[in-house]
Amino acid sequence: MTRRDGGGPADVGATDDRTLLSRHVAGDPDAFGLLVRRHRDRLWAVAIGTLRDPEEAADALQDALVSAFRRADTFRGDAAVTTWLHRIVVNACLDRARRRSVRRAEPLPDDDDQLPPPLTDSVESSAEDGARQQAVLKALRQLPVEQRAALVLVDMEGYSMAEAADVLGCPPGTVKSRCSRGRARLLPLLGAWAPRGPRPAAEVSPDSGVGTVTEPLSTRMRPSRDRSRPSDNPPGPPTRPDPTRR
Amino acid sequence: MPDYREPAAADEAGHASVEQLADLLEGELPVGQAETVTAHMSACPRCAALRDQLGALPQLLSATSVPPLPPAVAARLDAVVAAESARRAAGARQPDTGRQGDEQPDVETVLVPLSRLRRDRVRHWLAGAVTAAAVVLAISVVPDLVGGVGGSADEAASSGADAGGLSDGARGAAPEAAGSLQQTTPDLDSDEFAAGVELLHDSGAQAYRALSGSRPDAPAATDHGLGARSACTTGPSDSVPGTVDALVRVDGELAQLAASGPVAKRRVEAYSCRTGNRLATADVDLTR
Repeated sequence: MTRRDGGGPADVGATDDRTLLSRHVAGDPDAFGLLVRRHRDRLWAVAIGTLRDPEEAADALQDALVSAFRRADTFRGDAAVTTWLHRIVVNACLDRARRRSVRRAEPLPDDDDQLPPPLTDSVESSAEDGARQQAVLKALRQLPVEQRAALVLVDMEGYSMAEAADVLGCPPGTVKSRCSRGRARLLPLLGAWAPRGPRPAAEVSPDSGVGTVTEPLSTRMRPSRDRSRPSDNPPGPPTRPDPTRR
Repeated sequence: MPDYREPAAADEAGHASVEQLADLLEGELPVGQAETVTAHMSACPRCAALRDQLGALPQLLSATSVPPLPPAVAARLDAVVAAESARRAAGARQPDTGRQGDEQPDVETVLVPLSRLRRDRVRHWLAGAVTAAAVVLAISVVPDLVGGVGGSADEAASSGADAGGLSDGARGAAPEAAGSLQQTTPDLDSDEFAAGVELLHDSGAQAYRALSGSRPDAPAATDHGLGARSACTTGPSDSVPGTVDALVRVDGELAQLAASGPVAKRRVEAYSCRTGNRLATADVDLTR
């Protein structure tokens, strides 16, 4: 990922991922478990976002962790440990999704029944928020899995294009394309839940043409929420907002 | 540009396609098209509004939460990792334990060989059983996370936030496990009885660990099969030696387990709680 392993001030008093992984490879029976606990919420978020079914996501995550456990000695130091873990999880998810789509002739069954109950992010969440979230998740599930994985990483989880490209193992341009085409496909599916757009209609005038858009969307429109990013440094409590924990 | 596909073209009225607008926002639209689309949009509120909608999508997505990691899944992952660790440690200590190499216990077969069993029922149960097992594991693996004391200063300092998370998970998991275990009993297919018994034994649930105990008839501190002796009043508790205080269902019928013989080739039998008849027999290797 963008941050380097070790060396930063955040390391003080903490065991960084790389050290934990080295200890695991050296035979420490607890190191890998600590690594997993540190990152499992985010790994789960990617898995459940990419696969639709919680059971499948759990299986994929489990397969991935077993694989990572056994292949830890093949980890090369040129990537962050989190990138490596995410890559293994995403690959496990994509494998599962592809196997499933081969198994089933029909592309995307509407499995609303399996959708977990609406999630609320905070106390002020309303029923409408829940319905909107459901609509977004449902629309996401209509996308090809590659586009879905890219959008989950970049738009939902707030990874940079470069990070997502590392995780997905493809060039950043490909991730951008997948995000772009995924969004194009998503918008009509959202129907009434589609965003209104950030600006009032009055501002959409000839003067506000997109000629002013010089920066890619993915850097301009970072997720508004302060998300914890993958990093090899264990996040300390004050800097670890975790939207999934409540 | 790597595998860039041309976006759908503008329609006959000159409106930009959604793909063109999305690519434009991502800086992916070829320069010539970008100029055309931009020029069009300056005079077309419809396309400009569409662009704005696309521009707001990332925020909409970022505000969407996926379901959080369920405590049972977290516990299962802990159990899987712990099992891998134990397997590795055992392999390192005793490369040859007398078992065939290809019979080495493997976490995938320990925890998810469910396709051949009555997947839905066993699986539901297993989630709870592993949760119970993992709570125990969590205590031994990371003592400071559960009790709030102990553990190395290093770990305690390294994972304050994570420690809170795990404690939450453990606290959340325990009542759930207790509840589900009392209500559900794993259902084994008589045709797959041996595999089912091994699975239960390997799940780490104490009642089924007792199958490989040196005194299988000793009362187990059950975390499942609760009160088999009282629940199974017409069963074989008193008449069959080696009865384990653990319940299963065999093809749906409630049964009590009995075990005898060497651990490497344990004879495990299931006796109906209703009739006392033997419903299934298997010789299984419970050395792991």
